[in-house]
Amino acid sequence: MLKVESVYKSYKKQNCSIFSSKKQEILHDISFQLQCGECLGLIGESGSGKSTLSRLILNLERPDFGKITMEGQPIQNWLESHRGEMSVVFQDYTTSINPFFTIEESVAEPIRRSKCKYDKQVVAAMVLHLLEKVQLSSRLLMRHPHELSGGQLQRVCIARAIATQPRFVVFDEALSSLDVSAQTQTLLLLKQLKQEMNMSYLFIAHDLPTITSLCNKLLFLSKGKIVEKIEVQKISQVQTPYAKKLLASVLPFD
Amino acid sequence: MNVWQKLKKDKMALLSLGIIVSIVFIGIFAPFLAPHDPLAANIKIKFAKVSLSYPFGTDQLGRCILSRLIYGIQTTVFLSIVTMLLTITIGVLLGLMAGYLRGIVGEGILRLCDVLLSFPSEIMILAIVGMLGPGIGNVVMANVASKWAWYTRMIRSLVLEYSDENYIRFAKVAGYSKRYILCKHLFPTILGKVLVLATLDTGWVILNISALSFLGLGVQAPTPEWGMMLNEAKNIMTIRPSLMLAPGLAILIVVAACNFLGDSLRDALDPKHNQIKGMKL
Repeated sequence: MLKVESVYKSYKKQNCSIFSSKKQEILHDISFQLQCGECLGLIGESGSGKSTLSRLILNLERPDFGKITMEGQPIQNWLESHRGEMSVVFQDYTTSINPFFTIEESVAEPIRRSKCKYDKQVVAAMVLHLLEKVQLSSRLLMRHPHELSGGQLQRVCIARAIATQPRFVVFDEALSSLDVSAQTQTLLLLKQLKQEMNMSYLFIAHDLPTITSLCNKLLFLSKGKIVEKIEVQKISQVQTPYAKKLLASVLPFD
Repeated sequence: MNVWQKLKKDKMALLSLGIIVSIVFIGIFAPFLAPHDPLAANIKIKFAKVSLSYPFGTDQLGRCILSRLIYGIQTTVFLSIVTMLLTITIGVLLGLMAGYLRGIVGEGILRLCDVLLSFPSEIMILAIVGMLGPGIGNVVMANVASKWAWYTRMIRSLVLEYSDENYIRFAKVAGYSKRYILCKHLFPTILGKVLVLATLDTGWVILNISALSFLGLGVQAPTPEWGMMLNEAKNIMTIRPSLMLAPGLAILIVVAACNFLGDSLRDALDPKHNQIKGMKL
């Protein structure tokens, strides 16, 4: 389904004079594939280029070299012809929802842009159903984002992300900013949603336990390069020292 | 909770708003409210004391000061409102363009702003009025010309700040057009901040128009204008210092009301402000 082929991305170095053209390479020769219905986990230390990769896949930025294709089409074209079939949940839920919008308006936003045109009542019913799905009370509909707790907000973001029944969702460290109990709850919710709606996930995180319980394939990203790809069942057989180090830092708790 | 409900709880905001609205209404209905013709000179009753038919007395030419103040609203306050509206319109349009269309258009607008901003605004205004000659229209033009660059830069920086927010990224992924994002997400967010600055700046413009009239560069006699009334009163300050009181206080009250309203608007337009105050919702 999603195919990333030798993608490179670099940014201008900060704190340099405007005349120098020194660039910092963020992503180096990234290639991987994601099959339909699969859940791919992307792990790496902070600064390894995970979020940049997600921005490229979401077509918010273009790669310097390389191709990102979805079902054989370049990602820009695919996004235009398959509106509402890709979605995203960001790490920082505080800026994920427009502070001037009510929860209802925010969740309804992607629905209004989808290919089918719905009546107002239908949209309202859909929003209500979505809130139910993420276990939020309908009393929150008319609230503004600052009146909700972090866990509730992130669930609103998830409800908004699945509003158009996308086939592919990017979770950019969507759980890292939640506390442990909220993390577990959201994780269970995501598992359930995945089964119900047959979605593919790209799950970005920097901690392993959340990923291993949800994903079936893992990618280890270090300094902009993919250092190892592995199936979750074979996670104990990782080869590279980087992956071993990441694993070792969490395994004692298992 | 909307903006109006929040403003209603703020006594200072209500008072300021009340003052500004009533002054605007008095200005609109000046012909019905003014007791006398503001231009009718009657030298026999010059420097008349406060009385029932002349509530604020008369000036050196025997003109009714209250009538001149009321008609002065049409020049002083209305001109400053026109100036602010023009400035904001230009600033918002160019600022949104500069912030959203990076590249040659954006850079061009920015460099033009840099050139204009490299002069102090007072010098710009004096130079423009000096070149075009004194007059109402030229004063407005000079004020707009000296202010729009500042607004454009500020709105551009706001656009840059907000266009990286996650909710805008989400709208992009959901397939929304640039126009939708500008109108639905960026514009409301930015308008709040701009309105606050505009209210604060209205006071500055009123002072500016009055100052130019005071210098003899703005509105020309005998048109009633608060700054010019001050200027005329200045000439006879040694004989009748009390003549400066009425126009001076009028300017003070309107400018203060604008500033207080700006402060309250800033609080009311911030959706998070309730939390900070700890109000129950």
